[in-house]
Amino acid sequence: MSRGASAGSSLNQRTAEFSLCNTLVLLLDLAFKQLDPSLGAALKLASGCASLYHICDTVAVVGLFRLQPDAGQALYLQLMQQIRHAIETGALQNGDQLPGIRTLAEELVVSPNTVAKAFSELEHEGLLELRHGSGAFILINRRTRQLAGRLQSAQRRVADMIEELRDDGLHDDEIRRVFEAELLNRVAEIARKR
Amino acid sequence: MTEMFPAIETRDLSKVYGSLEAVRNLSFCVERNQITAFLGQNGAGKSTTIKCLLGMLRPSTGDASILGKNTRDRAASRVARQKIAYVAENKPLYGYMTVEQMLRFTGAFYQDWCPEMATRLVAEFQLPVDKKIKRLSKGMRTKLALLLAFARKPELLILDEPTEGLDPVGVEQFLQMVVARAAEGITVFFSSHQISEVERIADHVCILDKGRLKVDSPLDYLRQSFRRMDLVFPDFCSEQDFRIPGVQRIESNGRQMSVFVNKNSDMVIERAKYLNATSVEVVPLGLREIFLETVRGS
Repeated sequence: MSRGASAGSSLNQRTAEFSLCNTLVLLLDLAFKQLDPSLGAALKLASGCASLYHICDTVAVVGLFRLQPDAGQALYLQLMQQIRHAIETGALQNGDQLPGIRTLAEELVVSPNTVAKAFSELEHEGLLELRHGSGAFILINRRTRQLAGRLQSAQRRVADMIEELRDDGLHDDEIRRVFEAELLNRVAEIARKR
Repeated sequence: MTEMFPAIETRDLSKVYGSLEAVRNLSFCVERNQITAFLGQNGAGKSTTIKCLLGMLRPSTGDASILGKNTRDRAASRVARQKIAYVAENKPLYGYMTVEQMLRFTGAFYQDWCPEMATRLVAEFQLPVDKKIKRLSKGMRTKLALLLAFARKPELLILDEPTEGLDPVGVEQFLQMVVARAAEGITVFFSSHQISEVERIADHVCILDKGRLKVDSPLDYLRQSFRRMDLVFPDFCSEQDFRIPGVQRIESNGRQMSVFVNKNSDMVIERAKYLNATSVEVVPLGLREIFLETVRGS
């Protein structure tokens, strides 16, 4: 519990708001993928492959994380989200060891500082345990599991809603725009309150 | 032991060639343990700045220090330069030497030369050791020049247009090498106009335009603050309504408006809602667009 509390205060509020919106966008994306059978299958295959790699000590991350330098979001935040997402889908499990900062930086071809920052933020959130000299280990506690459950149920609701909207004759593109506009509205509201 | 001074620091650095002011009042810092990219168009003053830092050119006015040593102090600057590896823009090499000879020749100058690293990199780059340098292709020469710097263990690595002439595989190898060296605690400062490379590995970005420093910022900050907002209004909307701090440029044809911001995107959204915008779309800008916006119209 104390870990969770410290995470709340250590992450500044802006980042928290930002990641909330991004989680929703991610969810939306996922919902789209799941409704598209071919993409859904590809996704399942990908997580399946990811778990196959679990035979070795360190998780092979090739293909598990993909950072987009031009996505308008800090790379360390992208990496944090993808690690969280891999935990939610089960591709990463409790006790799994992630590659070291240097190895991961070389594999993703990003600055080591990006990986170091993502690791240390996730440690604050209680999702990673950094053991000096031996790397980073996934730590899944009750709180994480609850969050994963909430996200899964949210994903189902979003999927249902998208199906309804499609029945009303809306195109995916239009649905995406509506969702994004609504999320922007929320950003504007937060700005107003501040 | 951690040293307190930054890797590079300049104060009001200027360099004038006759009537041309190549670098104007440049003040910036390169922090240790970071990868800093130095961007600018051809002729923006990047190489001039680097040459001033290395004591190859004397600044007209202002000061520069590198690893804590003022470049005007020749003896101190020499001490600093022993801890720096530098790859020059034109990659000068001795054409009459073979690759092998060039490696031995260069290695003899430096105490921090790692023969094992040199051997590893020769294999990785697939350099023909017995070939004379004048017979190498441009890409191979670039690889050799990079190798001569990467086979050392300096405190600071300064690279001027390091990837010129490299094929995509070579670029990838180069980027991985930079990341690996940075992980060892080596500070990297490199100039480039290959924005897609910079965008992947840089922690910090400086943009030089016509000799002036236009941007000096962490790349993650640039990523999160530069936005293009596409707005649609039911009736004519005046650009005046969007004169908000952070708005860099507005393209408007009356009812449609694109607003480029480098901060305060929340305020622009709020203003647009207040003016009954029928559509608000926010598009993040990649470093390429940020760069173009920065050097535009100046």
